[in-house]
Amino acid sequence: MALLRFSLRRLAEAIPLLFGLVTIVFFLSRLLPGDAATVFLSPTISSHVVDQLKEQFGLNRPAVEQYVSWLRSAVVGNLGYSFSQNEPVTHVIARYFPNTALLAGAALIIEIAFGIIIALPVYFASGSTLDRFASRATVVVYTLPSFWIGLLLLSAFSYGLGLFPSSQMYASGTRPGSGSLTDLLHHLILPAATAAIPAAAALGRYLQANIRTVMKQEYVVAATSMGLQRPRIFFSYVFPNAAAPMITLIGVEIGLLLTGALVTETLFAWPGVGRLTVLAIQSRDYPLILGCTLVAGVVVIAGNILSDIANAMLDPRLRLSNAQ
Amino acid sequence: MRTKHITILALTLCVLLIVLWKWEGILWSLTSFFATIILAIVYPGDAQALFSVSLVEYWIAAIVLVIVCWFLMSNSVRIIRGVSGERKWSVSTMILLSLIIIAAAGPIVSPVPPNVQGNLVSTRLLPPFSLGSVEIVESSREGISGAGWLDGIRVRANSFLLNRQIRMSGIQQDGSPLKTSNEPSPMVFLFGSDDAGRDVLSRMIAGARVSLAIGGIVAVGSVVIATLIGFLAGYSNSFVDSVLMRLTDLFLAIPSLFLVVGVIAFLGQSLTILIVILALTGWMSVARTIRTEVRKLREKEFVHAARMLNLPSHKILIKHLLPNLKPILLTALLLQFGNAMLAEAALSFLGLGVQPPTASWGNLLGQSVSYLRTGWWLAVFPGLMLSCVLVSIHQKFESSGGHA
Repeated sequence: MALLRFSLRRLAEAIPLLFGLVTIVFFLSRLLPGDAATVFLSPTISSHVVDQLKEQFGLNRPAVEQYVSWLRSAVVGNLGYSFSQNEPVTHVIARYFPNTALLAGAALIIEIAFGIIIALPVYFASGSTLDRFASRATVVVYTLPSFWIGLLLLSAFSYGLGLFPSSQMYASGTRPGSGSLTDLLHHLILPAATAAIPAAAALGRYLQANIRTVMKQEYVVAATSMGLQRPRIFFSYVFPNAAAPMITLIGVEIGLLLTGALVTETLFAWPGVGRLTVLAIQSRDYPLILGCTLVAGVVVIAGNILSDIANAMLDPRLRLSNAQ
Repeated sequence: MRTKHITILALTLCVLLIVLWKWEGILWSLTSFFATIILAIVYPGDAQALFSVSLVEYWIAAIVLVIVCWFLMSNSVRIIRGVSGERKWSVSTMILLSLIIIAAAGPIVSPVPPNVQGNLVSTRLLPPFSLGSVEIVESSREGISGAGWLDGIRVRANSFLLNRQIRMSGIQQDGSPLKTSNEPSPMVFLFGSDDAGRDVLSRMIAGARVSLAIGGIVAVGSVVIATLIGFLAGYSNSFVDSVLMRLTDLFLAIPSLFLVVGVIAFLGQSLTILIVILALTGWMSVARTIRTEVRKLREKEFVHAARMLNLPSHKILIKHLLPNLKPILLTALLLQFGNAMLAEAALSFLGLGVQPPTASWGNLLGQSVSYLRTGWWLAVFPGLMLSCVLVSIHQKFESSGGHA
């Protein structure tokens, strides 16, 4: 019950954020020098037609009225019409978004797996060379720019060794909807690794610090003095306590992965929202740019809410203290 | 002399070698500087015509090199004598400092100007450590106006610095001779050359100037914004505070790179817009830290005392709160510097930031994508530079016990 109330509260808190997001995106569209009609239309078009189009799209109405109508259409999910793709913006984004989700999901799995692996030496080989190396490595790797890592992976594994394809989701010539799963995975590994490597280091670093703290706790000392075996202590006492706060980090990570998608997807020509945004900018498809920015904001807000709720599920103290 | 001094001695040696190697450029730059200053004082009416941006860049480069060299030498002499030892120089400080020195001294230090294209037949996509030749022809040396010998020297110096033609080429396979009057001097393409036959090292030095400058300006800008908002939120009543903090939450909720990309798409690409936008989207976390700190500080006795004395709030903020925030502001500045450089690199990588032919580390990496198969060095070295800076900044941030 408390959990439900907490979740509802978090959702309610997100409403003003979403409202602000929509407002900011509207202001973005007003930044355009001149008005939309003159930017989209050919300069040779007669002023009569321009007026007609302005009337049709409501561009001659006052800003407040335009804002209200933008708000109304954003709520029902109508984000306008994409000029470059010749489709409603929502359809285009709905087509590209699953690919971004796939890439981000794969990156998240790799990231969590490697983040945990790199943190293991802190407990199992405490103080050894391996431990020191793992701690140093995470500090260095998590500051590296992901696009450089991508370039290195690309030139080493794709162009150098020829192990992985360099771009797209499927081998060229594959008809849409008929690609095989192995081909998809083959194409997925490099971009997912690019997004995951710095993030795994960040996660690993956080986990290393947490494990160091938890290792010194009295209940771990007690378990050790009772003669429990080290793997048992780690997996039933140390790891659950060290990993719980990571849920919040993973929520933040969803936002970072989305931002990183701009660069990763462009580098690997992965047909997702990030690449779509860059393409939209190159073709000056303003409704699509606005739509992509809006969707990115919504996903980040949703990620934060989900991680808060997951955190509250794991840690009852949180939902109780927040409910009061 | 202990191990911790090795870094500074090595740096001193490097700077000394650079100064000895580039003595001609330094000498002419200083000559041009002093001659121009004297002429500008003597003939204030012509001052406008005497200055130009590219000249000033040479002057700054020469002055920075001389000052840095003198400073490092005097420090090293003291270290060798065993006098000094109180200042500790970590490796990350050294990396950052030497990059800033190289960037400031860029016009003099770089082997050739960044946009000089070599002979396309022999200079295109040369791997690192390739040998080549460079020939510098001083072109027009006319225009001596006869305003005295000082002006003659000035024109002579300026023509050495600016009016030269540079012919660059790799070792020619076919041995076709270049028609030259001078003997071409040998040159090493340390980091190779790019697809247009330009020296990658020179472009990286030029890129360092752009990247570090953008990073620095954005860092200062965003920390100033953060300080204003943090002060306003922390020191005013709870209504203003909650409004400002909701605003901060809102900006934190939007993935900032998407917002920046959106604004650039709508406003167009220019350096000014880039800097303003990066500063406007980078203040949030710092503002939060400052606000929390201001809230804590304003309950302290000395602030109460200042308020009892009826000091106006702006005086309390500037004289009593700001000095206490100095460590936080400095770490924030450092962190923002790194973040801004990373953001600029990502944007330029996407082709939305600094536009070629101006080089920045980001767009050097962006251009390297098309040549990954044939020219790995185009991607490796600029990225290595950027990573070195970012790692150094984070090392410094962590050693300062950073929390911002």
